[in-house]
Amino acid sequence: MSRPPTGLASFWERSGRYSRHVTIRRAAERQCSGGGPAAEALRLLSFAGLHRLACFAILSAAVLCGLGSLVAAGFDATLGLGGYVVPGRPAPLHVEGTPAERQAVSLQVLQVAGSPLEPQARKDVEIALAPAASASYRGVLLVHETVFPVVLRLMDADRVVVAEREVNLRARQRAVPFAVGVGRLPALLAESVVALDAADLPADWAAYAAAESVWIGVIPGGLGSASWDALARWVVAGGSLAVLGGEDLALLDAPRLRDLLPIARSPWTVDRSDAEGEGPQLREGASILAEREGKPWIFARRYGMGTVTLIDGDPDALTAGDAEVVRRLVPRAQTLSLETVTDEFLEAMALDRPSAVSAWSLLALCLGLTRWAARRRRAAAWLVTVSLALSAGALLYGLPHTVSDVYRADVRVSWLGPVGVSLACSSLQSATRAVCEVALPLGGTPYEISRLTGPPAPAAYEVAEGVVRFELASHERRLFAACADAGEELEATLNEDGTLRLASRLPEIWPAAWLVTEGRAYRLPAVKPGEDRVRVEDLPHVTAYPEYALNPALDRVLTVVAPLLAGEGNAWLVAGEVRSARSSPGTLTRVSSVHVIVAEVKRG
Amino acid sequence: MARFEGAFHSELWRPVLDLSAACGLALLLSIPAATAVGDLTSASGLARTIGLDLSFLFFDVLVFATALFGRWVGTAVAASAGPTRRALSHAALGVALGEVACLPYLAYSVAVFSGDFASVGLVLCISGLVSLAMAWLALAAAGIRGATGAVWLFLFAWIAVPLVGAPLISPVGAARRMLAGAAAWESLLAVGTPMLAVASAAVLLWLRRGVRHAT
Repeated sequence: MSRPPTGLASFWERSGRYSRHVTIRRAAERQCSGGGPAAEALRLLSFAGLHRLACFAILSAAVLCGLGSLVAAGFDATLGLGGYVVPGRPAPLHVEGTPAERQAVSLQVLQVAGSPLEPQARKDVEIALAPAASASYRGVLLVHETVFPVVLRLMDADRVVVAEREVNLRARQRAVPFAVGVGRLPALLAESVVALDAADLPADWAAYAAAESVWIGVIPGGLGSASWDALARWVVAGGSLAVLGGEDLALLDAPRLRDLLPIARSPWTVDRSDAEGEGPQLREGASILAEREGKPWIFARRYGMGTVTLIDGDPDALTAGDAEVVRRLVPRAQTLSLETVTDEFLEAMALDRPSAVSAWSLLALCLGLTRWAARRRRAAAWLVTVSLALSAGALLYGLPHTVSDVYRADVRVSWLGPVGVSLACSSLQSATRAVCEVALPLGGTPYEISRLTGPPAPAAYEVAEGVVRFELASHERRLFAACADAGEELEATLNEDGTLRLASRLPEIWPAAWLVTEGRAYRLPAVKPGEDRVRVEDLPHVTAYPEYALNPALDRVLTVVAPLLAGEGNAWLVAGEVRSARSSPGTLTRVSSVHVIVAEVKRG
Repeated sequence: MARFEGAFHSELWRPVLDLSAACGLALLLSIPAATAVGDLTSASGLARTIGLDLSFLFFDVLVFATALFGRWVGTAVAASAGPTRRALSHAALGVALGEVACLPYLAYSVAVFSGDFASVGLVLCISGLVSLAMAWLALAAAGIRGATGAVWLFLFAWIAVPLVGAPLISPVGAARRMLAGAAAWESLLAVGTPMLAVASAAVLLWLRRGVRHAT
């Protein structure tokens, strides 16, 4: 009989060496004393056996982790403008995977909103990927918080994780929107911007949501048309673009840039024109913000809802004082937000429901019927007959007043033009007791605007071809937004003879439209598809826009849009409509939508 | 109908009136008080805060009140005819009359519950079976010392206790689940449980020999 080890021997027993000795010795003892399978199993549970099992488990885990890390290296992901994000704002997301045995069909993004000391909410997003050998996705993702890393997972058709990557944004977050610089900028300006490679400029204008302004410096290879179009759309939606002039500006020459700049002539001819004494030719609505050495220096122009600023002269010659002036004069982006107005619109929607008066009447009828039937000779027969009649009546009354499961308010503002944009926002409220599936067509790349308050809940949705699909829990409210491109579907030209020529390629008639110019709003007849011509002087008008008693929802959206139509000498065509519909079967959804389109009126 | 006149004796009408009044008032309360979506959010938020959801009230009351009505019908039929085979059919007819009295409310409730005919129909089926089970149980327990208390205990235990862990077993929990959208197996379980109770009540009645030898 062996003595239990103590002291140093006990320490050695914890190590494999002593255990091996003990095992060998006990095996020898076993050979002498015999022992069946039960004894063998008991011996496996000895310290040495457990030690071996633990070693094996640790080794297996290490191998699995190694394999996992090999798999995780299967794709690259970048999130944010130059890697920087602003919590609560969309950011560009680029995922590029390498070909793998298992084809990834969806991208799962897991975020946790909140902080360790506050209530947390999971924000899971699932995005369907285009079928391809290697996963690739370029889109926009709403960044909720940066306390916890964002987890990106590529999933195959069986919902097995093909690859996984964590993006830690804690060190890359900015509290407020920041300036983004592209190309070579003067050192005095470059220190205050987040530098971005020209190749990394997003092609989706919604991805600039975290940018306060975008500064374009000297770019030897210029920018592609897709990048210029995205920048132009962002400016139309309220962005602020600053272009640094100088001789090297010629390298940037592009049709869209010429359209954006505040001066009509090519900027690299400004100095020469000055030398000839002609001066720069300002575009309509453009102005000179500052002069230097007696020459125009900083030009600005409203473009859509945003501003384009041109800083002329040699950028490298900027002094500290000049840089301060430039920074002060370049405005901050102020993109139109539809969140508040959409929520207000939803809250004001009337509820579908049967009236309480009818329910009181039904109660009185049923009670009266029961009492009356009890006095009849064939009471049961009477009760059955009249009950059935009442039931049929209740059904006939009730069905048109059926309570809707989901209420949805859609607000869309479209800015039609050569680089038109469309901003959409949808707010949904569940009024049902059950979880229901919702398919919400928003166009563009939808992203969810989350509220950080409320109970923690996963907020997964799938996006495919501009339609976002998700589950709406009982009494839950969710808010989605989407930014999309819009074409030049409506053209308006104000001729010198006082006539307005309308050319509409919109698929339907717009019954409510106004011409807004010089502080007056003229009520137009319906805008029909095709061409039309009206005399402006004959139209009824009001001086304070948009004081119309058309529809509360439409008026509210017009109030939001109205400040964006500022600008002396500019003329705008504004059309709006309010619709209400109820969709079924499945989930009964009451949909109310407001759509406002704005088109800049050209001067003929 | 004339051959069933014996089933609808004069004392039956007061419970029918009570059932009708209870269900009608519950239906009134379950209609959303909100007139706009904004009110709905605040109302449901308040209801969640205090753990009360009035939207289910009508069906909760319907199931509970029909169960009580069934027990009353069973007791009344037993007092007049005893646990005979004819009493079985009389109790079933009494239960059916109670359900018919509630039909207008059920038709109206389809509008309150988003036009979900299938769920409302299932709840009607559950409440009818529960009422019948209670009627037959009361019939089986008639004349046995202490059995009346046992029937009451069974009724409350059946409705309340499973709500804690297995709500589908409870008629009230099952009705709520049907209205919140149930899977097929859940519907089967929800209807199967009261059917089992009806079958058990029938077996109990059969065990009381009087049924077999009755005219």
